[in-house]
Amino acid sequence: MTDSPNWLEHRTGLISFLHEALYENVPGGSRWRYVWGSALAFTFFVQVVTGVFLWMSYSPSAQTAWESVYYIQFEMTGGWLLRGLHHYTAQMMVVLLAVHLAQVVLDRAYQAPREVNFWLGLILALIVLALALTGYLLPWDQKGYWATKVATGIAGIVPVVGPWLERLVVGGPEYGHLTLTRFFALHAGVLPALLALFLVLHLALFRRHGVKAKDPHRAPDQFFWPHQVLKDAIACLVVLGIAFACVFFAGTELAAPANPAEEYPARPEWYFLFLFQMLKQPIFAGENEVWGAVILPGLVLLVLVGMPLWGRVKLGHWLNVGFLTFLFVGAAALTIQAMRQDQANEDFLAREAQEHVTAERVRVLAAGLGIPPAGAIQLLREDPLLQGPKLFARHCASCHSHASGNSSQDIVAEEVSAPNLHGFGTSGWIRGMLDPERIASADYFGNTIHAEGEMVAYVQDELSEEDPETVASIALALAAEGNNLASDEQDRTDEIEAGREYIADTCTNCHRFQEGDLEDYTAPDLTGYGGDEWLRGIIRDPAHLRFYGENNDRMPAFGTEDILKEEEIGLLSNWIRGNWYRPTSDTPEAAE
Amino acid sequence: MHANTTEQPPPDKSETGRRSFIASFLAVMASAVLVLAPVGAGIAVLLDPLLRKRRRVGGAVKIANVESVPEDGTPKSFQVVQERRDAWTLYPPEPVGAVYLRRTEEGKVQAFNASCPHLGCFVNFVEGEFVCPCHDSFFQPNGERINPETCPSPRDLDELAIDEGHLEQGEVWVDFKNFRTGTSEKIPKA
Repeated sequence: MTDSPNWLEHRTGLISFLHEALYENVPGGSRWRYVWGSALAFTFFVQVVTGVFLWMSYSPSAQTAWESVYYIQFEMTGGWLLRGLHHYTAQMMVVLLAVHLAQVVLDRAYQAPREVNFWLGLILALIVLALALTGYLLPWDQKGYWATKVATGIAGIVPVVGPWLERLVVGGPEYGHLTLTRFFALHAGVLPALLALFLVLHLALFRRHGVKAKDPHRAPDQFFWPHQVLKDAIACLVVLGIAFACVFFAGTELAAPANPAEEYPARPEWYFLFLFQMLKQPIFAGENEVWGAVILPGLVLLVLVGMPLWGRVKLGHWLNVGFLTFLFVGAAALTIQAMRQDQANEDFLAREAQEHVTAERVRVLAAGLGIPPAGAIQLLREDPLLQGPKLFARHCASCHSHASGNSSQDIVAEEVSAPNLHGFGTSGWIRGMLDPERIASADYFGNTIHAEGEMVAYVQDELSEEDPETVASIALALAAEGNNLASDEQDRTDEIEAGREYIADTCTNCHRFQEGDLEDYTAPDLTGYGGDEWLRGIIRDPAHLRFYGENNDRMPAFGTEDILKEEEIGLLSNWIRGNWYRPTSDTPEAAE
Repeated sequence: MHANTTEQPPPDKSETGRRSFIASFLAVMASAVLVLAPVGAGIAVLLDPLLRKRRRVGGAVKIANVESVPEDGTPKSFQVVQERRDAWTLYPPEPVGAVYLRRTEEGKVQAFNASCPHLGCFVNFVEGEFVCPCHDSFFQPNGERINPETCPSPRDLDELAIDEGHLEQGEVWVDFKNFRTGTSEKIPKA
């Protein structure tokens, strides 16, 4: 028994090493104010452990980065916890960095002979910030993508070498695979290795000079073990507890996949907000930006490096304390200002809310449809629910509204001069058009040349004489044509049949229905009315014989004039008809 | 390994052994939690492939119409085209393997996975028998090994289930699976 420690000691020196490590003298006894360095080292340990495990499932490329993070976050057992711990511990690390720095300066632990160790600490701090920056991009979501673009843009305005530096970091002129592989190599390889190296040096020098006691005579000396170790461990537990609480209660965000074509209200992670806010100040406008983004932070760093030199004299020390206080208060003030401005900016809030909707929608699509090899961005681009409103607002809303009248999703035309397409093709929408009170209103033909046309005259003069059931059956039959029946209308086959007969008898004076030559009719074909094929057709070319022919009002031929691509016409048609992926009730997504 | 077991006297003269022991105990426990929490979260994710029930995409997959299977009972190979899920990616239908189909005397259709149960090479059908080109395993058209004592393959060709309902309508739908190689028992992969 007693031989084995000696055996090990003799061959490795492990026992005396541990002894030396644990029986470091703490002048004045263990204190809570010494825990910060240990807590910081602990966060690094957590980041290494969780980071290595994340690495086992992460895939850095433009088609797989978001997708693998999605898989970790939402599919893998415990993945949400692992990623959450990594995400929040990173933020704790930045906070602890600031506290550790403040404590070292306040306790004069940077004074001779500890200057070099203070500088090592500053190097460590820069490495941690670089880790935070590189890590933010890796999920390749909208948030990290746009925020990091700003950061590499700042690298680009560095005097002289900027453009080369930016291109080098990005791996080319544009963001892509190489940006991710480079950032990942830095984040998981180069930077942690440097951090470990400098941490060893930092600890070695710390041990060489011993604890810098704030007040060495307040109590009897103690060893590091066990009392200081216990205090350190409790502090680390608190750090871990906060990280866990954040994971459980706040959750870990994954924004929508990075999309170079879709601008995003880019904001850096909260601990860089003060820099962001500083750059918004008018004195850093335009060409002056380099002062706020590069030169001023460089000068601050220079002052920090110089602190131990003039901190040896009393005045210098108090200048240092004052400078650091100014720095922290300034950063806090800028951070609060940045947050307040965003909270007061309705446009920003609306766009942020929309981003949450998009992120959630992509998650539902990925879970329900599976992610195609081209990546989740394809799900987003091919989703009528996400793309339809944007296309409609851009191309249709100069004339058409798409508004139920009481929804935040309503799109109201700039100048209403064509029918409101909300619910187009459904029996309700068609009943409105067949309503003598409404057909000439702004919701239908009111602001078009058709207001004076035969259809309006027919509805107001003749159809108004028919009983409401007949009108309802026409509406049902037309909704059935376009496959636009609501689920509770599907079985009303008798009414639908009656409606079809009425249409075949009466409407075919002007409209083609099921049979006959297009040339013989003056009004739109009712065969398949309001269905996907019909709707794509009228968007493609409303002046086609099948639709309005020469009676077409002002609607452009979006397809034949190459205004919209066929896929975009399909997205519009599917969106207008309410045809998009909905989770079925036996999948968990339906609960939302 | 707490302070009072060392030869060096603790600098704190007032320190009692018990107080120090409790602090040591608590410090060890706390440190264990600090190490185990992140490691535990990582291990859970690491073990995910073992905990995950494979989401089967598809199930039975259509291979061919019955007419395209030779009526004389000669086996013919067909590609299996199926959706494939690889972690987060769902690939559109693409060839994932091959099967041999043959008509039996009873007018039914039999399906075999075209991989040799020995080590997974693609089996050929030559002159009335299946031959594995890698290690010369020979099988009869009904999938049985020709000489089980000397055949490298530890089991007969892997027969796959055929959907009876579709077969009656003239279509061959097969529940396509791969099996572990080199075992005498037929064990589906995942």
